Amino acid sequence: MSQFDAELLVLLVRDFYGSLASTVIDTLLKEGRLSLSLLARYSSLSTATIQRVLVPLLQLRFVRHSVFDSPTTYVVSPEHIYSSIVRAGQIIAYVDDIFSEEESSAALQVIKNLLLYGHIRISDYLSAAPNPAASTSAIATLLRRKLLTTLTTEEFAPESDRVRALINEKLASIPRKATVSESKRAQAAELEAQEAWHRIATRHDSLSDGFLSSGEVDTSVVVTVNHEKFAVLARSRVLVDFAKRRIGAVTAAVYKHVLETMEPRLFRSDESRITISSLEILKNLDEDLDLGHALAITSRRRKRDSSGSDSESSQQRPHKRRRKENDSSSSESESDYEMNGNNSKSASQMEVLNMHLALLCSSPSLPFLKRVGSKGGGEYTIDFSALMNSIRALEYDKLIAKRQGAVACRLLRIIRDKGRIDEKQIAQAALLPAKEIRAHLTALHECGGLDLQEVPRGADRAPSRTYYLWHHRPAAAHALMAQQVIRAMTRCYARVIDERARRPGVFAKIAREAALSAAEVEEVRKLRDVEEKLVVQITRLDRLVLVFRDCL
Amino acid sequence: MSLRGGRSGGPGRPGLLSGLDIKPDFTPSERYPKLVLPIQSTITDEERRCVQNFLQFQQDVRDSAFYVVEKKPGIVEYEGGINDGIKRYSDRFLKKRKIGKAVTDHPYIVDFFPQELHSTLGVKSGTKRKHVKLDLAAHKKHFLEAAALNAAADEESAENAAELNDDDEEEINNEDDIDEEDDEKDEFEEDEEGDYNAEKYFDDGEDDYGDDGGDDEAAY
Repeated sequence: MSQFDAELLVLLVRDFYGSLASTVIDTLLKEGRLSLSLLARYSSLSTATIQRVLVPLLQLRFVRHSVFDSPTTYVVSPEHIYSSIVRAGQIIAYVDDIFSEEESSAALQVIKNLLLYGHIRISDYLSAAPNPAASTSAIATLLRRKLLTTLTTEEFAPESDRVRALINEKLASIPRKATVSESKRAQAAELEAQEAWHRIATRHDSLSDGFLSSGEVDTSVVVTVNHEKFAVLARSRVLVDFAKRRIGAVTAAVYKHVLETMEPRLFRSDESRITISSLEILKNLDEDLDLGHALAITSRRRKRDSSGSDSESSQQRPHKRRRKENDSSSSESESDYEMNGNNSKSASQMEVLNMHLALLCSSPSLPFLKRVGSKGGGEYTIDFSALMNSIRALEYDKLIAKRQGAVACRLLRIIRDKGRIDEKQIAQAALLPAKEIRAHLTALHECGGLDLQEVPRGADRAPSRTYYLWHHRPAAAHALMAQQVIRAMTRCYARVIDERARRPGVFAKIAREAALSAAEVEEVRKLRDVEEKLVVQITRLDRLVLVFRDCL
Repeated sequence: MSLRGGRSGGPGRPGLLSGLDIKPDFTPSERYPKLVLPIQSTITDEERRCVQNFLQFQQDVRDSAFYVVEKKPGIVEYEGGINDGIKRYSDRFLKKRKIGKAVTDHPYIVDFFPQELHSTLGVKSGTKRKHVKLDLAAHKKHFLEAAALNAAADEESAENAAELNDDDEEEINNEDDIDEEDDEKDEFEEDEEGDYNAEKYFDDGEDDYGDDGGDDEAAY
């Protein structure tokens, strides 16, 4: 938790939930875990006020309370605050997208109220909703798609506390023995706790979670927005965007479909290794999508297309080539084509689809897909961590190129490629004089993109007899970049607040919904434009935060 | 001539740098150096929707019970005003916010909160918490406002550009009129009350007239 993270959260909470809430959050962020009486002392607010503020903060789960300590202590959950405020707009827009027009109003109502109130018991919601039947079906769909998740009492405690309690519990269950050392016992307990924690963390993943055995929604459960799932969806959008820029629109549409097919089995962004086959992908593929249009299919291949032969490319499958050479088999399959036009059409569709999938597999530096087998027309998986690593590196390069110029970006890429490298060698590789690159290297060092290692040649550590090796540490560099992005977001949002404060009269009038004069309408339009631009910028920066921080 | 570059140098010790090929620049740096700012690429419709949702969400939060303020419920607060309990004319132009929604006005699930906050939730020891109905947010304001602004802009542009589909416009306008009438009604109602109060408390100086005259006479 850095200073910039804290600044952004305090700013957002102050603007959304009022200054009292932001004071409490600020105090907790600065001082760490605090009990009620200490919180009152450090924030100089009365205990009654703090209690009144803590209620909504706990309801929203911005603050968690430890059940193991006495007196109860309170801990901020920064990630949760960030995703519930910054990503609120995107979450609502996404829910609006996935529902048809008549269903979307009920679903939007559900998601907006959940964002507003943190968590709600379904029966409470239904008793207040204007249209309970539509709301029930909307909740069921959202639960089934895991956009909502159920909550239990334990989830109001900080995660670290729960893990610690689990370890202690396991440790107590392993008896002390003279033959087993204490450290080994602790290790065994930790391992067991890890397994148990995994079970706990994934227990809401079951598809029947929140449903009765009859298949109806269990109205006694408490639901909340599942931010982990929304992060997965946001990541998918980033990936499709990249595929579109790297390969093309149609292949990106195929990739989007692949990700959508995988989506029900992806619960959080740190999971990977889900295998799907071409057949599965083809099954629900949008029929309007003109797959062949985007690819230059050679005439030979086109002939094979019409003959309805199978899908694999000729290089991969030698027996296919044989069949092509053999005229009789070709005419055979032609007759197949006449007999069952529909079937062979899907076969050719399959072939083109596999070409798109091969394109997605083709780049080793950006492996959108990975082919792992040939069952069901070809089995594919996505190694999300490797893919996100490549994407992070690309995004980082782009930012460096924007901020420090193309030369700096090139130097960074050379260093990333070579590992640890001397200035002289960099100069040789970059085909630039050493004098010219020095300034760039220092600038990169300043912004955290590069690190310098000294390797002395002698015991005296004389500077003249020392190697200076430049190297790039991706994890550290990306974390620093994430901080800078968050700082930029803070500035953007501070500017939004400032722009509103500059037009106090008009803003009050809008809030009152009073009639505005023409000049005031113009003023409001200007304010809305500025607001829109800045908030859009925040949304775009949030995409970088997702890439650099949230999808590791 | 000394090796250090002589004594006739300027302020400081210019001799220090004579051995290096660096020429220091002593001119004051610009206070606001020119920055080439990047230009934002055009906003897509999807992004626009996200922004609208975001701003509307903010408005909803501010109107909800979770926007905690220092005051006790029941007091009327003016957004952006001074709010020291004194009524001001200028407060007429500010949005009223009745702090009626106390934090307790929500069906909390008491088990999720620590014992020490139960009294704040409205739970008295030994008794069951009275049932509070969930107050669903309306989620209307921001869109209406945007729609009104857009409608105003559309009308302007439509008037300037063409008057071909008058009939359609009239229909739309009629619908708008209905809404406007409602609004006007509300405004009149409020105004009447305001006028009434103004009449009641209007001081035309009649009572003071005699006194003034008296004072004048005494003076001459």
